[in-house]
Amino acid sequence: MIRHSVFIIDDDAAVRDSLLQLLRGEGLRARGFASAADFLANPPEDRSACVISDMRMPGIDGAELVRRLAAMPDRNWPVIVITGHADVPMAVQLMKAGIIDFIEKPFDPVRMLETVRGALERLDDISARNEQRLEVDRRLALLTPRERQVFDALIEGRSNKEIALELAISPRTVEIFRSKVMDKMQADSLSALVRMGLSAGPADPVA
Amino acid sequence: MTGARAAAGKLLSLATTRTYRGWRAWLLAVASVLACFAARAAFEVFGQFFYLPLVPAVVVTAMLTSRGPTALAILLAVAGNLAVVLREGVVDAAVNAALFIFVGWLIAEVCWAQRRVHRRSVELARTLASRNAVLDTVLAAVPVVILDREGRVRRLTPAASGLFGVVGEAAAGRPFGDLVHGFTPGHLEGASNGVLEAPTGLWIGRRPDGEPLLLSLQMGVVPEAAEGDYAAICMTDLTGVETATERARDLDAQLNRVWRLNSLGEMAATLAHELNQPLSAATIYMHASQRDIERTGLMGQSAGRTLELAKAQVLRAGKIIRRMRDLLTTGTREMEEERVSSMIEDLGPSFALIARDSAVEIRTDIDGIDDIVRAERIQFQQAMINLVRNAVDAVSGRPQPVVLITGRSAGPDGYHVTVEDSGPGIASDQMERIFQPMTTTKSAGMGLGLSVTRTIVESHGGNLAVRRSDLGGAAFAVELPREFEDA
Repeated sequence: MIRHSVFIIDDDAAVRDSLLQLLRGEGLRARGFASAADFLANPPEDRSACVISDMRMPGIDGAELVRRLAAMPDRNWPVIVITGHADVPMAVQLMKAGIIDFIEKPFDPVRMLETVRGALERLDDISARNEQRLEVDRRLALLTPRERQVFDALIEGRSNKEIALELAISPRTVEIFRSKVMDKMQADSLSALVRMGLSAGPADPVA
Repeated sequence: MTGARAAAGKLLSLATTRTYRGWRAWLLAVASVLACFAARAAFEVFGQFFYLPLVPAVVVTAMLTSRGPTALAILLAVAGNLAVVLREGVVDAAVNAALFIFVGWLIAEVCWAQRRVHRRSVELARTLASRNAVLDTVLAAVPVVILDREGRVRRLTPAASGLFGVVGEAAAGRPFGDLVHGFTPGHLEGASNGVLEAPTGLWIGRRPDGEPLLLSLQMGVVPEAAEGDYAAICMTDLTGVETATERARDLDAQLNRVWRLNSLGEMAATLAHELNQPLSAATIYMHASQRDIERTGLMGQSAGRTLELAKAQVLRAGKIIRRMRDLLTTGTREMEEERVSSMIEDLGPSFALIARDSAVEIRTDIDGIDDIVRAERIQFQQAMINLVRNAVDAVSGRPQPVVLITGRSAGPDGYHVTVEDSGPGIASDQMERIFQPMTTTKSAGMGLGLSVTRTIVESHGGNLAVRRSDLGGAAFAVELPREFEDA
């Protein structure tokens, strides 16, 4: 399981440092950046992570950062915006732009932790699903073309007899292929096999 | 006799219009003497004539020429007489000649005096006529009322009737006090020529429709008043001027109030922002230490609870700051569809005042085409005034100080207004910092102007940017969108 990081971008050193302490104290991985420009100039490798950004910063501000992050196709970085200068129209605009929360400073650390955890859990879910999908794909790749045909027919809910008729082989041979498929796919039952079939296919865009 | 009068009139009018000079004059002298000798010869059949027939020659020459030819005419007449008329002796001839010369010259002098007087009178008549024409034109346009000694209206010029909304005949004979509130005959007593002081600032005229009419009265006492005319009162309608000044003053007061509110709001917002940073850090640090302490066991739990209380107090401070800021910031904007050209036009008097006080030329070039935006009028005007004041401050005291305000439609994207100056400009390392509150390059100033301006522009969904101007100084561009979601 990947452990997602939290990136903190705030020009105020005390806010940045206290947030790092808070998150690290909760056992999370966290890194701080003094400006959005710093962050964007050298973006971390992580394909998915949670970002906490201040709104008002010299140079690139929070709104601009949100826009730029949204434009990065290979990153899934949900953003939490914090601000000491609440501005309702700006908040509405940012929420529409897809940030997960807009928190006014000073905030209750408990609420911040909840929001961060929620974001991380969602990222975990997505990665877990994607990992599962990758595993199924890996197993599917082991099947011979004939076995793949039998697999496809099985998950469509056809009986051995029907498959035999369709592939012009004997029901006995179908039986042999079927047990090979079950072995290779590590499925202990037909229903497990069908579930794998459903989760197979294109993965979520970013994981 | 009538023939003589006609001849004299003709000669006089000819004499006023022209004077012969050069060879014509000499020729005229010779010709008139010859003509008179011819006439004398013609009259010879009736009796003896000496110098008398030659007098007309002297008169004509004197009237139409100058001294030289006149002297020639007299001398010719004497010479002719001496040659033609046989005298009894040298003494007789000499005395007659001398007498003629004297009388001839006397006549000539009288003629010249007459000519001068006549010419001047003609000139005077002409000047008088042209003055009269000017006076007529002025009187037709200027409201003037003629009063008698008792302060009753005798005559009104058409402009005056128009001003009061009365027909001239209807007003005649009525006391002037009926037309102008508070005017009494007493005002005429002892008043000399000049402005008539009103009891309170301006005179207030009465119109049948009740519209207010603010007047300044200028009185002139008619000298040697004929037919009961005593005073001429010239009125100046100041209603329009007063209304315009009042509107400008109103706008100025409104702008000042908005400025005070805005800067207070900006101060509060800045203070809130600046204080909220350390407050957040403090809350988070407390929370972190609370967690650490609680892990140490029972002792820690008590300290943890205390920390929880401290944290709640810090959060409370944050809430107080937020409430104070919400109170001071102007809150929701009252956006209307407004024309940029009209909003800036209204600021004309304010700009004129700033330009006069600072000796800076302020040019405006606002394109009125496609200039409708959603804006809160007074706030937008506040932003413009701020930018213009800044620009004027930047250029004042420099050679050829110019501030240029340009407005152009950017099509569907919105409308852009730029305020640029010929000042020293803004150093590139300052460009980003200048918008931050409490940042100023001026010795006097809180550094709120630009930050207030940016807040206003952003609350309009717009953007305030700074760049270099072609004039050499800074150019502040206000980019207003056509439509935006008004949250």
